[in-house]
Amino acid sequence: MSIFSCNQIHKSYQTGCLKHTRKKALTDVSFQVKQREVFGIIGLNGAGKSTILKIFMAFVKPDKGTVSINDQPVASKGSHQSIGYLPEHPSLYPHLSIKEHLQFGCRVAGLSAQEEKKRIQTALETVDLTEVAKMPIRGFSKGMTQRAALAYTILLKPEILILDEPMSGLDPLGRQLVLDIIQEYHDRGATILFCSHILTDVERICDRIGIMHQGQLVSVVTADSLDKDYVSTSTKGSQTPLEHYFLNTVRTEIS
Amino acid sequence: MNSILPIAVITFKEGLRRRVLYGVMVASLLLILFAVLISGLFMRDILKVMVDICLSSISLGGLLVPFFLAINLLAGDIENRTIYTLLARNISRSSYILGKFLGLAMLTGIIIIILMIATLVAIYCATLIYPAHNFLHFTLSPLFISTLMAFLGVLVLNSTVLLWCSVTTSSFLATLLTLSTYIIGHSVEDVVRFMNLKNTGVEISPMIQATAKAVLYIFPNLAAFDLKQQAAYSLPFVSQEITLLGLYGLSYISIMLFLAIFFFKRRDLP
Amino acid sequence: MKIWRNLFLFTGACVLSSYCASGLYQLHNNNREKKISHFTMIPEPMARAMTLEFPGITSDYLMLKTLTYMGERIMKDEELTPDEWQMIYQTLVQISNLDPRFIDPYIIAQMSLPWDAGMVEETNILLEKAAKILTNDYRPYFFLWYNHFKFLDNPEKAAYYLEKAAAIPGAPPYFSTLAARLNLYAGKTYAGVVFLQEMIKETNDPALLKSLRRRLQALQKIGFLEQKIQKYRKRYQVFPKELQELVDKGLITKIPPDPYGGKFYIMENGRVYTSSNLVLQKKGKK
Ligand SMILES: Nc1ncnc2c1ncn2[C@@H]1O[C@H](COP(=O)(O)OP(=O)(O)O)[C@@H](O)[C@H]1O
Ligand SMILES: [Mg+2]
Repeated sequence: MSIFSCNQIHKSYQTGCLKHTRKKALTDVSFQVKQREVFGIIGLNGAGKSTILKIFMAFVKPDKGTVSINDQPVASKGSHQSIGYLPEHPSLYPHLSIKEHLQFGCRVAGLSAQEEKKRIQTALETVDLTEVAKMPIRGFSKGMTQRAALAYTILLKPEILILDEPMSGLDPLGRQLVLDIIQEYHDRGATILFCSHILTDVERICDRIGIMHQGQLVSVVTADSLDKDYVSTSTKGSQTPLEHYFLNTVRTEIS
Repeated sequence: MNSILPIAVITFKEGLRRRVLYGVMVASLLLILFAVLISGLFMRDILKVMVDICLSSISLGGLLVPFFLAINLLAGDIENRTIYTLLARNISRSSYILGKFLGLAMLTGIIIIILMIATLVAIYCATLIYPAHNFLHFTLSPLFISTLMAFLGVLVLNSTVLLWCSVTTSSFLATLLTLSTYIIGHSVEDVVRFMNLKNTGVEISPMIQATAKAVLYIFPNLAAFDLKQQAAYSLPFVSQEITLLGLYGLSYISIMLFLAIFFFKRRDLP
Repeated sequence: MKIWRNLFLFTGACVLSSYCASGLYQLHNNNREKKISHFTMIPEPMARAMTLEFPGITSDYLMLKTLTYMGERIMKDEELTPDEWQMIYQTLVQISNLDPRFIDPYIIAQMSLPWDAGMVEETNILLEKAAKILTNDYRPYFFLWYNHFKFLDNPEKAAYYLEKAAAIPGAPPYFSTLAARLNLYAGKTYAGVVFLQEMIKETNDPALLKSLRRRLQALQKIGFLEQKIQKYRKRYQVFPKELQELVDKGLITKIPPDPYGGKFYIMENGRVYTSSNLVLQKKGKK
């Protein structure tokens, strides 16, 4: 059974208001992610990574193709019951504190007051924001906002995580934190779909990696096969196996 | 559906945090002072002038919500992608719209309540200062009814803001559309009356007649919610009018919310 | 299933809202406010301040409300009370305060106030103001001429205004000879016809046009009758006692009907009046 599944997705954005010029973002993308799998999408800027994740969140509707989570078509009621989503540029209400955001999350889920308190505390501790829990978000730095959004994402201990460049804007400690969280959720049996352009991070935690280029999913590899191939073929010491593979793939696409 | 209330609360809180309450409180203090002092300049109808000033301030205060807060809170949500934070929580888009509407209604309500209290204080102060014969005919109920109707009118405008924000992508456009709605809403009845008048004259063009009718039904008749004059002169309210206004407001709001949800569900939030 | 339910609810809301909208419209129609706009009551400097940078559009809007107010009455053939006329005058003054170059309030004033409300002096004040501001427009002076000639019986002053009107470029060329011709018989009736013809050129409001045309028709008929009376007098050296005599002597085939529903009759001085006094007679009330 696959948790994430998309089939021949096409998507183009309308640019321009009157002229119906459209910008192609995705062309014929299909892949599946099984339960307990960590699937990483890598690609250059503008490759269409975020668009895929937004389609899974039903924020954006594909022009063609089917998308489902847990074998339920997205956008149907309850399809993202237990999903944690971290947007690419997380934005919270600037005048509210992180605590109020977390309270909102718990209330929507209908948790009891006691449970609510416990969840908020754990989430804050995980991202190390307990001290600024009552400060309005607009006083946060980029990295702190990212952490706050991360806390909000994992608040309800979701079984599915969709993370859009979770490491962007974070210091080395924060980056390690994200890796730890992903590792922890992975160990707990969660399914994780995420995208990034920091290849070393992706390499360390992913089971499978999809490489996107100009709206197409050009190749999907497992981490294991990557290592094997690299050992047998490459002699370049300065690149990691994924970097080597990625650059090769993208180069062949361009030429 | 049980997520409507949390959304309303978070909208309400975020709205209040924008120093709205302080602003409104300062404004209401000024209002009390102004109303008490200015009305002394008039010879006879002190009460009428006071009620005029106070009710106008209440309407203006209410209008802050659709024109400034609502657009900020709605279009801002979409422009800054804060909406992802909400919608990622298994919240349907219809709950989002309804929750936002409720939150804005709460904001409008609190502003109007504060200004209403200021009004009562101002009138009380005036009774201490000015001769009693000015206040013989004073009754509270016209004041309350007219304020209630002003509140309903602002809610109608709020619901159109929701519709505009759900069909356009830019907050500028939403502001412009809201302003147009407001202006049309306050002049539509007079204009339609004028157009109908022409038609009963020499040549009747069914086209123009139909347009005039359609305009009256499509745009909210905001002027109808303005009962300030009746309150100022303590004229009796026609209960039929109040009933019709109430029903009209509620049904118009439902239509706007229906349409807002309809369009919002079908739109991309890139 | 859900779609149908939603559609049903939506249609219901639409029906209810339309019902209430038309209900409110009717209600407002029935107990019309007795005021055109409260804005009229505000003193001029304050009114100008309150309109910020929008005095123009405010005056347009007030004009529209005034026209609506008057038009509704004209349509229903209802007379306005002196108080209402006073209010209309006040509103027109306020409009001209806000936008002095706006010609409409002056024209509306001239077309209604002296005729229906007897407010000649007030109209003249407005017109003097207009003449001072609209220096390139012959109409204010033209109106002033007419008011002095027709209503105030002051031919000297009237001639003065007519001269002024004729001197303004764009004035109809016959103005300069008009004064001379007016000393002839039936001057007032002829002046009225000239005036109304000028007015009808200005007007595109159907309600007003209707009332102006009716008045022109009546005046033309009176003029026609007076002309025939003069002819009768030339022939028999006396005025006829009854209009019927014109028919008997074969000067006219029949006495034309008064468009206002009254009856024409002849005065001692050979002038023709009507029992309607150029005010529309209500049907049934005889
Ligand atoms: N709202 C939008 N309007 C128009 N084009 C867009 C929009 N969002 C994304 N695109 C285009 O779609 C393509 C994919 O974007 P995205 O999925 O954000 O790429 P990335 O892989 O960097 O996350 C890009 O070429 C981008 O220009
Ligand atoms: Mg991206």
